[in-house]
Amino acid sequence: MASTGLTKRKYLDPQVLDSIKRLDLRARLVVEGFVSGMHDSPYKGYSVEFAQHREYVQGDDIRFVDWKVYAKSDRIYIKEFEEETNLKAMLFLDQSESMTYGEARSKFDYGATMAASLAHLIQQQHDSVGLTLFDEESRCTLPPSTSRAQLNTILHHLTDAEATRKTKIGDILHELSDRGGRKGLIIVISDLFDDPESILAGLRHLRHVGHDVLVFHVMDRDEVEFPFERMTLFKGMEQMPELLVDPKSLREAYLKEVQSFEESIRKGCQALKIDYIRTITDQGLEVVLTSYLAKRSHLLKGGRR
Amino acid sequence: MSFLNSALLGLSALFAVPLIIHLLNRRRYRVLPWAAMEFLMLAYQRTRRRMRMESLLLLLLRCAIPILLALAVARPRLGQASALPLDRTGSHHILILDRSYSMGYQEEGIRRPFDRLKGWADGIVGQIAAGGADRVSLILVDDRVTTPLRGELSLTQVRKTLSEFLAPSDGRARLLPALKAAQTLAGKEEEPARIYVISDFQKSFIEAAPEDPEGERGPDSALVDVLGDFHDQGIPVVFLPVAPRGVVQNSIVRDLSLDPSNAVARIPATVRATVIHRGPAGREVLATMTLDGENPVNRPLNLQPGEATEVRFPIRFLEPGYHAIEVSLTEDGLPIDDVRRLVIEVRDRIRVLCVEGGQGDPEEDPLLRPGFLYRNLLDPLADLDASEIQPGQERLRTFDVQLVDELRFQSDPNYFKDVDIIALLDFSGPREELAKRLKDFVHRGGGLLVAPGQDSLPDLYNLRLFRKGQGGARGEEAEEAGPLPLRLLEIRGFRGQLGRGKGGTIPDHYATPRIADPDSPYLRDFFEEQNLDKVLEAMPVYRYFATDVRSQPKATRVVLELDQADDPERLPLLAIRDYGRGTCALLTSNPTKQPDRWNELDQLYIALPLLHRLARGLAQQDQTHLNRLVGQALQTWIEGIPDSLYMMRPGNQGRKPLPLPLQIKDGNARMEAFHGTYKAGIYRLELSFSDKTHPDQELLFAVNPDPDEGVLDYVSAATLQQDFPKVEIQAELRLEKPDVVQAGTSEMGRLLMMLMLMVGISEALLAGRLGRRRQ
Repeated sequence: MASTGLTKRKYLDPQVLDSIKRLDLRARLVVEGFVSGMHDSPYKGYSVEFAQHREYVQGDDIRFVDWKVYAKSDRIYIKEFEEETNLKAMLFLDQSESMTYGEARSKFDYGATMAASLAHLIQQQHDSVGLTLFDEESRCTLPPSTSRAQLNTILHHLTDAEATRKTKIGDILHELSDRGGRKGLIIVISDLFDDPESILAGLRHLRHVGHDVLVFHVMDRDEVEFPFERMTLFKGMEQMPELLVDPKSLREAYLKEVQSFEESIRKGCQALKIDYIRTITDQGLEVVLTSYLAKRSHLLKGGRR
Repeated sequence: MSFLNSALLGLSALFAVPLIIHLLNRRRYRVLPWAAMEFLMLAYQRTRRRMRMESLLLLLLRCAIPILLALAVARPRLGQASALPLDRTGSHHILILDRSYSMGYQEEGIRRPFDRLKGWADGIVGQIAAGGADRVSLILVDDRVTTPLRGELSLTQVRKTLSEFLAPSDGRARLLPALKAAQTLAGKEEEPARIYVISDFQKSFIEAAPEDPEGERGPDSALVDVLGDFHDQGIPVVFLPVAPRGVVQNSIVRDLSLDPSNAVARIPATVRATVIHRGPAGREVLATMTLDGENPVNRPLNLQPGEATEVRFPIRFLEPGYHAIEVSLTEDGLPIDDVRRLVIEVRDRIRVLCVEGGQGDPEEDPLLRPGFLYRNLLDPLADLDASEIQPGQERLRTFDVQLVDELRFQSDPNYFKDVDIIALLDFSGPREELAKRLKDFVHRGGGLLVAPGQDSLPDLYNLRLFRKGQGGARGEEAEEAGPLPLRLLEIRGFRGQLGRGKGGTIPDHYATPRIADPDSPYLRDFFEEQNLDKVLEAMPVYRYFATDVRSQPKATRVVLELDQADDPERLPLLAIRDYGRGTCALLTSNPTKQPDRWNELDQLYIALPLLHRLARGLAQQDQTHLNRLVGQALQTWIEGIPDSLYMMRPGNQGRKPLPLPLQIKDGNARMEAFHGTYKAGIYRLELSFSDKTHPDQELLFAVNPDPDEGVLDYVSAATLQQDFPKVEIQAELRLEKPDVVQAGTSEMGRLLMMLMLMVGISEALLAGRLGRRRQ
């Protein structure tokens, strides 16, 4: 079980180290095959990579006048370059009790792997990456850094994480927004088991302060399909009550609730121009990330043109 | 509400099965920590009420199925108060069907009562709703009551039984035992009973068994009581008379007898048959008699309505043994009573054992002894060869007389074998063992003549052959004590030497016999032959035993008595008493040839007919056990102990082995009673003896129909209604609608079955709907 593994990792015994190594390897395997460049920057300025020409206006720095074009056309044009900024990405991983659900692979394991993969990916791009583990409050925060040790630090924190508490994503997002600092990429990895209005308010706050936000909604297959047949006593996590019920009789209503929840989050994210990716833990992580990042890169490039 | 199959109500306990499954399912669950509990709780809160309702409804439907099924098969029945328009069923129809032989009466133009009975029975069964809850019981009544069907639900079985069992039998019928059987059947079933009696309703059907044939007869009071009980219990009884309509006439051979009844081989006898005729006009018929089925003798008869006609046939049995006589009439509408049969056991001769008592004078001439006189009187041709006997003298060869002295007889029981009559002449008195043998001998049909004399001790006779104590017992105990007709007192009359021989005198005063019972069969010859009765009354009797007439048992009949002027008491001379199947005669003054004679009755012309008649009377065989009515048991004593017994029924209806007899006495065996006398005719009992002590034999029994059944004296519907006001009389079968016939009950079995099916379908639909929703 994930909780047993977590307890062992807390003491850094050989198995813990092996687990870190495996995560590292796993993240690397996932990253390979899709990394071809760096993140697009949303800012344009005078940088290395040419973006476009525009007519000179008074006040422009004459250093960027394209003299060759002036010589050919006798018109003064300014060369604009895409800004090469150092991406500041913040991984925001839910470590609440609900994330421990999952028989073969818990949602937390899946999310942690995803976070490690993204961290590795971001570091490969020489961007700075940080990590925040949260439940009802922020449990661990690593500020973004480009140092080589940052990834190992992130992995250690991931293996040390203990999921026992409730979650309050909305509050945490508000808290993150209020910290200020440079605008960057916020990657939220969670099952989002909280009030959708509260979550969307938090996300809205992040967008408001200028962050680019990515939401990976991690769900288990059981939670999406509710395939249970026998009479089951559902013991609620995160201090929720228990319920003895014939699952077949509830399946229809449950799935409606889940779909309604997903739909509200999806629509909210869409309105806030936030990428919302729902993943299921039995889906291959490399597939999820590849398809998403390729799509994102394509969109960004299309938007830049 | 009541139930037809209340035991099946237990099936309703199966309603607990769905409950148990439900509870077990709730107990057997898996535990799963669940993250998305909020969604689950939301879904649960939204669907909780509907889910509970659906689950409860499904559970109720599933529980209702076994309950409804149990109720349906238990078949509840609503009372009359029910206003529900249900299919009304659930009565117990008891059909009492008269199958006596009179139901087979058939005349041209008249429908047979039996055929009408079948039609009506079919009609009643036909109006019972097929597949309903009505039960049918059949009671067939003739000389016995049989119930081939008891509470049968299957109408097919009822019709099959009606067709198989219904045929007129040879017996007679009475209603009372059938109604008692119906009473028992009605009490065993829960359904309200309804009784139908289909019969030709002769008077004999509803009247009590006659105790006094001449007495006034009416409806059996016990029958009225039973019908009253039915009325009180609310059980309707319907009489359906099916008597033939039109002119009914029938001739019956009512009685058949042999005169004399104790037939002896080669001795002529007479067969007497009494024929009665019922009808509006006289009828000429031909009466035919056969002996063992051969040598028919015909007599034309002109029968008059309501009169009894006697027809006689002379007969002579050439061989001893069992013989069957049959008298038949020209066949009429009821042929079964046109024939009557009589079985007679014919003896070669009547065997008489004369036991001589008294020591007497050793030098006395043996020819003067009483035994010699008796032998000469009973068997006067004993010393002649058969060829020397003249025609007309056959009657004198009736008896075969043996003499034995008292001492040998007292000590040797073998003298009781092969003897029909024992005459104790001047016998001192029986010892105790001998007295027992004598009593048993008479009880089993032997004849005993007691003629005490000078040497007889009356106290010994009284003690051992009359009663147990001296003057103690009275009534039936005294009658059972012994066969002697009267208690002996002292010797009375002239006490001196009589005038015959040795210079005796003839007394001036003497008594004379007088006929006390002119109707006695023991004196029949006296009235038929030359005024012998007048001569008898002039014969002097000098000495006699006085008897105690005050202690005379009921069965004792005084035939002759003495007229003695000096003695005012009644002085019997000859008294007869039936004892068991035999007879004992007491002659208080014994005729002898001795000098000190007691009377002059030794005169040949008196003594011969008197003793012959007396001996024949004593040798009277009770042949009633050989001649029975249909339905009566056959039983007899058998000489020897057979190894196998078979009963051959008449009309080649099979040879039935009988159990070997258990009751054995003095080397004789008593056969077990045979009750299978359902058909009239001659029954043959085959006996075989492997030890060859006796030859294999064939005993015959005649079984005749009861002539009362053939009288065809029908009771009209109006009279029936008058005699039985609480009974519904239907002169014509009125087929009623089922809801009328079966009024009073409403059976809900089918309704509940349909309801159960509907519930089952609803359950399946609901379960399917829920299942689809859960997929």
